[in-house]
Amino acid sequence: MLTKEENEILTRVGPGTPAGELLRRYWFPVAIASELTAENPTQLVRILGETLVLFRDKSGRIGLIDDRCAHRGVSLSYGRVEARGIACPYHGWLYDTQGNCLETPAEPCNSKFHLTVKQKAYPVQELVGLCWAYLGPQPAPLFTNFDIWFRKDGRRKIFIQPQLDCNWFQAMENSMDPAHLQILHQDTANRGRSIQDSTRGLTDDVQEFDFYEVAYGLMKRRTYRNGIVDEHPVIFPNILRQGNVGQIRVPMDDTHTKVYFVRFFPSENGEIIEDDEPPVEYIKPYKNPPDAVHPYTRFRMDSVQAQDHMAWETQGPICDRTTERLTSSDRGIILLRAVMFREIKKVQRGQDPMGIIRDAQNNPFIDTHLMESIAQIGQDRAPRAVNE
Amino acid sequence: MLTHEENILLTQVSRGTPCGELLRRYWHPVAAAAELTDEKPIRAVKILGEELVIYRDKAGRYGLVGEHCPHRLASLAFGRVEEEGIRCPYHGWKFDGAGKCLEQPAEPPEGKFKDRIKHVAYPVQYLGGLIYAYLGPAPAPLLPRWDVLVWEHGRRWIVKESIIDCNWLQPMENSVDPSHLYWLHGDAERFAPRLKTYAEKHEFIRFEYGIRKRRTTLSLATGGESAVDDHPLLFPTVLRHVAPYNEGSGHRHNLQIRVPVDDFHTQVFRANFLPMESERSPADAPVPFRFTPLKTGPREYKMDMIPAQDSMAWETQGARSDRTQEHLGVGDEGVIALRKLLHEQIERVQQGLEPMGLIRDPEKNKVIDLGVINERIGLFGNERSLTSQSKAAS
Repeated sequence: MLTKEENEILTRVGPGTPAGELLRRYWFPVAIASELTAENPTQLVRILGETLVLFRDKSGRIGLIDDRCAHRGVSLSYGRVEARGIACPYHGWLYDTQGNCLETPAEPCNSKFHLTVKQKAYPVQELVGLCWAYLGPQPAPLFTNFDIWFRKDGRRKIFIQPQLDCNWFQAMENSMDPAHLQILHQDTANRGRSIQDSTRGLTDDVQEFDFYEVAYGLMKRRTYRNGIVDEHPVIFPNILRQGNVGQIRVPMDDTHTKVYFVRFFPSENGEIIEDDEPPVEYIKPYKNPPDAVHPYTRFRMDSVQAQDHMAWETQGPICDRTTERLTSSDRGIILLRAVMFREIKKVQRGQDPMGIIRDAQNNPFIDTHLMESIAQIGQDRAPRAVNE
Repeated sequence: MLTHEENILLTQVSRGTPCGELLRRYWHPVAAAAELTDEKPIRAVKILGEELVIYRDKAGRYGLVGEHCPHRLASLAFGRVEEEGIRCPYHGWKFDGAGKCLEQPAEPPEGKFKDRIKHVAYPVQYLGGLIYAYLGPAPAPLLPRWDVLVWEHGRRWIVKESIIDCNWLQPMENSVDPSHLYWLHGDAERFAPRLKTYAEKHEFIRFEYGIRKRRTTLSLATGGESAVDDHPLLFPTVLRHVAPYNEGSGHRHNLQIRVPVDDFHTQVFRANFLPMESERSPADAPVPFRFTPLKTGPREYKMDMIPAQDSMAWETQGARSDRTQEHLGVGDEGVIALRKLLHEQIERVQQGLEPMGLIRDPEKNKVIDLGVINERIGLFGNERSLTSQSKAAS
């Protein structure tokens, strides 16, 4: 159980908030790179409580700047791109990818007014078919050398989940909550077994849960009574690696989250794939109506992700943690919160938080034992029969 | 750039707010007359933050009364009209257009209870296809007989747009912002060439009814003689405009009337008039009406329509544009002039004075010819001398 103040610290993502400043030390995907085309060169981006425009100018440069024109606030996402940048649709103020104002066409020819205007601008890089942005202080850190992004012996596919209409941290707590798998997902993750008692679900398959910190985040480990061990790491602060998926939860604002799944499919016999351009699939809404929130909508319950979205959203737009009742199986959640508070303090003291890497010579490959997890995907977790 | 307090002062529309009281000194349209039919004689309308119903009773009189019955607050929008007035659907209380309660069927017949009931009611008047209302203190000024509403020598029609999700002042600032034409509407074929050779002089001239926005396009941009256009902003909520019609075969004069629904919504009516040899529009003739949606979904504007381009700009500025964050240049002279005028007029009302442009002399209100000029489309207005003066000056 948290106090109201602690809950605020943990969940607010806007500029200047404690967790918002921590999150601003990491790179986040903001768009599908292949969707930024000559026909559609601008996209509105909502991230960490900021409204931005992502654009590709006619010189091919990608920019991410404040969507609100400095002049009189019109959305630049309706602007026109040209070789030097993006021009506001209203009066043509032209900005480059660095946020410099190059022209204010309706001002007198000799005007230097544009030199006084500076639009907020953030760096963007492409990786695994996504455009990633960094909204924090310079210099930006390196990308983490995480196997699911950087392995070359396979192909990737991107899945865009329906927008999650709640705070991002609910999804992250779920990633450190191993016990829910055997209950919430019992009907979809039972691998063909019939459930005897839906209250206990598959709980009795599990021997024990364990949680520990690693250099890049936290590990959740399930040991089953039949000897199988699942390890699903959280890449701090916002990514779960489960099975062959990197699940990236991007806080749009305090109460909305964009979820990207990047699935890795290893090639047969370890063949190296050089031109890995991941295809993209959009997942249909899990609820009807799709733009309403609980209790004014109803979730489908026929897939693991739909069940998870139900659980996260019905906890509330921002879960009220002053009234919860945590137990021994919630140890992972308690650990995750403690790490969050500790890392927030580090940022407040001017230090780099967990997992930030700045030295290209010392950016070790992070092996999350992807192949073991993939191999276990179909394996039965049922306890072996006594006479076996 | 304004302070937060100034921004609130200039934009609030409800009763009792400084700007809301100013706006209540003027007539505003609440519906097109053609929206009220025998089948549907009642419509709920919201204006200046007040929830009302406009209706036409069976005797053909219009009335504008509070939407919520004073009995137990059910909506009169679901009521019935009769010979004289409107009846609540819940218990049958009946009101006339002055807000007088005529009947309370469930009360004893000898009772005087109904005489103590005074329902919210405002005066309404029909003009040029629109039903106008006055929500301010009596005596109401005259309903201005703008040229577009009373001319007879052509075709008149009314357009009502889908509601714009932002404060009314954003469209009004746009009306004294000549330079946006070439960028926001720059993809329209007839403007595109001028983007390359932008050379204009702007003047914002106060006159009896508001601000004349005068644009002089210099010869550098026209390639020939410089050209003037002059579109008056009729304070506080109307733009008087003219544009070519049907590929330049005529001139479509119009009033773009931005009615504040509440602080964050605006209803635009357009009254159009096309001078024609072959048609006439007498004052008592029915005026055709059309509803025009500007969007196909959230953030999906019909960007090939000029009004939709405008509404994109206004809505994306924010429900109430945060003017503490803006950067105004010299090209925004008109915006600054309008804010100054609005501020002054709010103060006049606070001091108990009449704001600008109220008409109380019927002699002055026969036809108010606004003499718009648009030389580029061959329209020189009535004030020929004024046009030639500004030509000589440029």
